[in-house]
Amino acid sequence: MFNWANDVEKQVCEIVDSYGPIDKDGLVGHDSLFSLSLLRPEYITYQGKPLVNQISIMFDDVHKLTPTQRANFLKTIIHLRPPVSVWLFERLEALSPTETFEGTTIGRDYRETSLEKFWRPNPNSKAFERAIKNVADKRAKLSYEFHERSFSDCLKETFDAEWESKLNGINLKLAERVRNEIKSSITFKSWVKEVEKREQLTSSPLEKAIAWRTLEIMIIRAKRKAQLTLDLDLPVLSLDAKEELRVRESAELFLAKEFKIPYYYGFTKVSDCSSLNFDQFLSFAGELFEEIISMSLTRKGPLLPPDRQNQILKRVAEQKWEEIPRRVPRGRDVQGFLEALCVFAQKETFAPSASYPPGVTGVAITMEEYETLLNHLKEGKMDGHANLAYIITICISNNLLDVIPDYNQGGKKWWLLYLNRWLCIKFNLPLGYGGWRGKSINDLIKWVKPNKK
Amino acid sequence: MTELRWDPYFLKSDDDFILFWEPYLAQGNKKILFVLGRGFDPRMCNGLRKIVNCGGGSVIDCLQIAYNEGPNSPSLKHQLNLDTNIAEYDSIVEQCNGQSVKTINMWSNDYPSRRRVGDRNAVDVVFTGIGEITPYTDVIIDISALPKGIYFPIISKALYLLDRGKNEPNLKLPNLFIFVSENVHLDRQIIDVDIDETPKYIHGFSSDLEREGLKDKPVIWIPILGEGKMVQLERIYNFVNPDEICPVLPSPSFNPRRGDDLIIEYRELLFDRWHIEPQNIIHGHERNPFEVYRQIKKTIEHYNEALEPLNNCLAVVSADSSKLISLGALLAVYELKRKNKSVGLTNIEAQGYEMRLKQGDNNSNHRYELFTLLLDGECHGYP
Repeated sequence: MFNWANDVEKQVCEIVDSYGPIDKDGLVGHDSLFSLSLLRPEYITYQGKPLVNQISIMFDDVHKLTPTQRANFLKTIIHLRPPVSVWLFERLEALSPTETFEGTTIGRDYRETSLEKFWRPNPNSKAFERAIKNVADKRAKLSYEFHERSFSDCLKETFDAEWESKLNGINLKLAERVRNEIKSSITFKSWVKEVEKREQLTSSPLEKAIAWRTLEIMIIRAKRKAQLTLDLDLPVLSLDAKEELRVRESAELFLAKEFKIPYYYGFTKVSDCSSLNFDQFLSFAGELFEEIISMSLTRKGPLLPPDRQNQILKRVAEQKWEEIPRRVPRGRDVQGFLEALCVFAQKETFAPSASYPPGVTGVAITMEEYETLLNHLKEGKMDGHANLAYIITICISNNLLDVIPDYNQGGKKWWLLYLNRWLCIKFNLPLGYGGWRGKSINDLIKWVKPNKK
Repeated sequence: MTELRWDPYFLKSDDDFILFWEPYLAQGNKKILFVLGRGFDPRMCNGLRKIVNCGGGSVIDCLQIAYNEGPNSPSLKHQLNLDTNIAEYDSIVEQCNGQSVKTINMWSNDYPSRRRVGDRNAVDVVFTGIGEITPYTDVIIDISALPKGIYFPIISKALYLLDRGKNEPNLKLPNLFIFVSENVHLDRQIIDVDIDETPKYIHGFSSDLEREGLKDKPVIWIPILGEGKMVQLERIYNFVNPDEICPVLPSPSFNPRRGDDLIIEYRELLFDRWHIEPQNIIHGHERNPFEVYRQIKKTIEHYNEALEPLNNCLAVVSADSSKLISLGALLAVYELKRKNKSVGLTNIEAQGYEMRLKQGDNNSNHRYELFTLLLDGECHGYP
């Protein structure tokens, strides 16, 4: 059977690779996927008994087929209605229109599984983190240098004495700054008292610093609100716990930026910066892994402090950034576009009132504008729209931007583009999702260098 | 080693070029098809100019190959250089018998998931059949301004047509010459821009390499090394996933230290990461593609012989070096393929090319050496 299949494959490959005219009568191979009908559990037996109960067939890299080939392939499978379950794997190609299986019903005839949705069914899902933790810990178990600790345990999340003393100094500075800011406002004084009360309950200087920085943002927000309503005498209000919680993440990021405190550390952050991609996780985790082993060999113990983790993650992100011109088509232009996007995101993220906590890490255009972009690309036009579409296509194909199509918000459907999380590390942005701003195509075109002739 | 198709071989350069072409053209009764690429490379018209000066003008039909790299190609930056070349070409072609243009689209039109189809189009567009070349006594393909992805398939299609034509009685076949205007210095300054993520096999040289049924066979990779090709080499390595690597170094070469310099440049890649055995290194003459052809062919046959108990091996050749030396790779693979060996020729394309001349360096102060190679013809036993 192997020899038969091998012969058929050989002849088909020879025809595909041939320079000569194709002899239609001598064509070999088969024009349908008849093997799907042959592969049944009852046909695969040993000593008269079936070996398996069910058979699944997987077709990988379906995105590599041309549009016509792909359409024919899908049509063949649908019409064949094979007795086995068929898995098709394909990468979401950038800017390609979504194609459905004609004449079929989702759920009954086929089911679509997006790996992104699988790993992140909701924003708080930890499924991906659990999966990579499992992989990393299994690898760590094989290394003597980890001293039977798991990989995540070796990524320290607490600061050493030197850092604690620095953070205590920052605390004092922040507290003083807030007190100078509030002057005689009764509302703010009560807020300060509340934070001072909470300060007694925690021993972590980082937590204290975050609390002060959160308060500072809350004060700016409250003042801005008062200015808008022309209500100069602020009523006495208690701190809004929900808002405080939302602002807290921004406060941590602001602190890290202002006082150069490590921000990217701990296993959760390593998982977040992987953008649901195992390869990307390995590129970051591999470097941390090496460092843990080196530390262990130099008798410093396997625990990697937060500042070193932060340094390593930033270094890997920097390397990836430097590689873009070499590795990505029109790399310099892609870098220019991403840089403009990230600078915009930074501006929005680090606004004093932290309007979009934890920060902006994506932009979106309406689905109507997306269709316009697609049409310019399809028609092979040589204008700004096509140039932008081309750059975005490169970004998506090279895993620099993540796409969420048909995102509903404010009565509109959006085509959402999130930065790959390693870019967030490079540009000191938060790793959480959710913060994005709507833009027009014309805004985005300004971020792209025109393709000079 | 089995018999060599190109032994003895015909290779002329510099003064010998004129010494051969002047009397050859003076014989009369010649009708020449001159194929050349339309590009920004300053060497585009060197070959045509020289052969016209040798007295061939009135018997030459020019076929210009234009290749469309798409609206986003970085090569478009060199429109001025291209215009200069076209102006020169127009002035030379006035002295010729006729001219035509054929365009090769490097990309498919199925946006947005477009694919590279340049090699396939080159095979289909340039010589559609034997009838296109038999009216001529000589076909000259000048590859000086053509990228590998185009000239490899054009030359191999021409060889294929001639080989098929030999089976047809009473068919008068033309001689097939290749012109290369060689300048290693300039080659280094023409940089691949936006290199493709994935290499591909040149059309006509892939069949066995992509077969699922042969996935277990050992793979030998023979990369011809050239300067500044780290990314290309890494990507081809990942694509080919070889079991054994035999890099080809240009030696002897015009710069006697060139081989050493390449070893220094790729030391980490070759020895620290790929763990290549020093005895695997092949030395190929920088200015003699027939020598390179001989070396590569010998190596592949040797591996096939040694691995015969394991049902032979697959061999992949890649050429990221100068045009002349790259021709050696094509000849070796073409011949072995004709002998039903499992060999492939891989190439990694770029979105376009940029000429980065150093300060004080201009096109006119480059010294070019024009080579002419005879790949098929009367001296190879034509009827």
